[in-house]
Amino acid sequence: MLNPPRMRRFIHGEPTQIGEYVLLPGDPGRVMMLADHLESGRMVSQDRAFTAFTGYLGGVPVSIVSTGMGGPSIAIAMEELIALGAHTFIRVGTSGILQPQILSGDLVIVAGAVRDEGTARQYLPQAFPAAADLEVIASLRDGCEKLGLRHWTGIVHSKDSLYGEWEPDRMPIGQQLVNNYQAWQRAGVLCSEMEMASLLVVAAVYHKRAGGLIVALNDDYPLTELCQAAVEGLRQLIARDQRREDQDGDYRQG
Amino acid sequence: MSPTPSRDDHRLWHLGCHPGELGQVAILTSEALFLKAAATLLENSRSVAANREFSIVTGQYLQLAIGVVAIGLGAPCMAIAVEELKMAGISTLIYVGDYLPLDLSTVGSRIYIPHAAIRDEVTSQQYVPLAYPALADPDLVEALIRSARDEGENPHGGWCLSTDSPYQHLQPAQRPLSIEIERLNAFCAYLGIWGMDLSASTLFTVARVLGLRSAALLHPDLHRPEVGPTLLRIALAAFLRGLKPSGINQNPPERNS
Repeated sequence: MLNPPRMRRFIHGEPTQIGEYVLLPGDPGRVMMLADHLESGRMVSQDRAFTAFTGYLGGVPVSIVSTGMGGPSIAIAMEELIALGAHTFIRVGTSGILQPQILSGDLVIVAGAVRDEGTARQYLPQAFPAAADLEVIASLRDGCEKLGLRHWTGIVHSKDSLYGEWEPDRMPIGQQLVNNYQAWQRAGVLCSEMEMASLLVVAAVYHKRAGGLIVALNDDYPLTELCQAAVEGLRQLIARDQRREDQDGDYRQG
Repeated sequence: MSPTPSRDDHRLWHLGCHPGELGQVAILTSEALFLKAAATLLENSRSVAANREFSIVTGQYLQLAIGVVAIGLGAPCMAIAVEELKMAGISTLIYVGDYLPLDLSTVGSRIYIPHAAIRDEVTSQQYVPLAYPALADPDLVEALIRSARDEGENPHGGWCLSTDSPYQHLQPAQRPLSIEIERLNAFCAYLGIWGMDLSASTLFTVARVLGLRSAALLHPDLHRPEVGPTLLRIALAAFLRGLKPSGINQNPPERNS
């Protein structure tokens, strides 16, 4: 071991202070926007990019934890939240549009992610899919349908270099970047963001459930609907879990 | 670049059927014996083509026009079949095939409905880089699960390992690539991967890239006489469940609402 484990944590708190269900915005400034939709709660921890708030949804403890930008940062958040007992993760994020039919402000429910980033490769080889949990997908769709919001379901692209997407011509490998983005577009990838692939692969390694609700943007756009839909989706998921506790014969997702 | 090949009479090159002859949904199977079972399940069934390892039976199931297509084994055959079924006008595919359980000590349901696959085959990599996830259509997976339960089955889910060389995974010792194969096997064991097949990841990837919806319904004992009809009934019932419009794999995508 190169360094002793647990030298430093970024999310401070006890397992009792973190809910088993977690919403993961990237931006710490978005934590309170989401927290406004919970029944009550309090701030648990604030350190660097990681702001953690825990409240209640239908009496069930739910945490909202910002992850910062990029795979490395969200993987740290996941590791620490799993150590604190969380089992279900929904990223609530923003992205750039890759398909002409998608309008700015449309919501994207993540079925899976293109692993065009480095963090997930330090967990599992690239042949392993970054796939969202089926129940998380279904619950987020139910939430969007209940609120009547425009939404798509499909594959998102996760990259490490934001400016490589925005200004590829400036990069020495610019042509390669342009070719790659064209390939993802032709393969039907809906939008591009920076954290989903790492989130899904880390969750798989720990046998946890994960998914994401992403707003596709090409401009500044209010995030009210995104936050409402994420909380409603989580509410649907919790209800699904509670219904299932009475049933047997689970479809085991392995 | 050559034009897409077809026969002089416009039949598709390998499948041997005409575009439009199969309806919009199809069952693919690696087991040619299933075509006989399909012929008894479908109304007005008829054999429309037989060429190499590809043969096709069509008919109706509760008014739904359906093609059942035997495709042979392996990822390259799967990709050819998916390409030509797209040319034939198919929009939704269910693959009924076999798998090898990876943990032979486990007892449980034999039906396996993976919603994603590990891309340990090369065919799909000639479509889109490995970073792209091999994902079944979630709606179709859900429809299959419900239909399987209606048949009294308790299907297993998760990811499956799709590989070009199953014998190497079963017997990695002394192989030139034994270290790599054993490493992959160890990852699969760690993740609890239930089974291994040859072409689910090819199906999921190529179908999605071509804008088709797909899922897989796998069973380890396809030769047992009761298995074919059961699996076919599950697949047919899944088609009839009425899928929500999907943005998942349409290329260009369609909005959900």
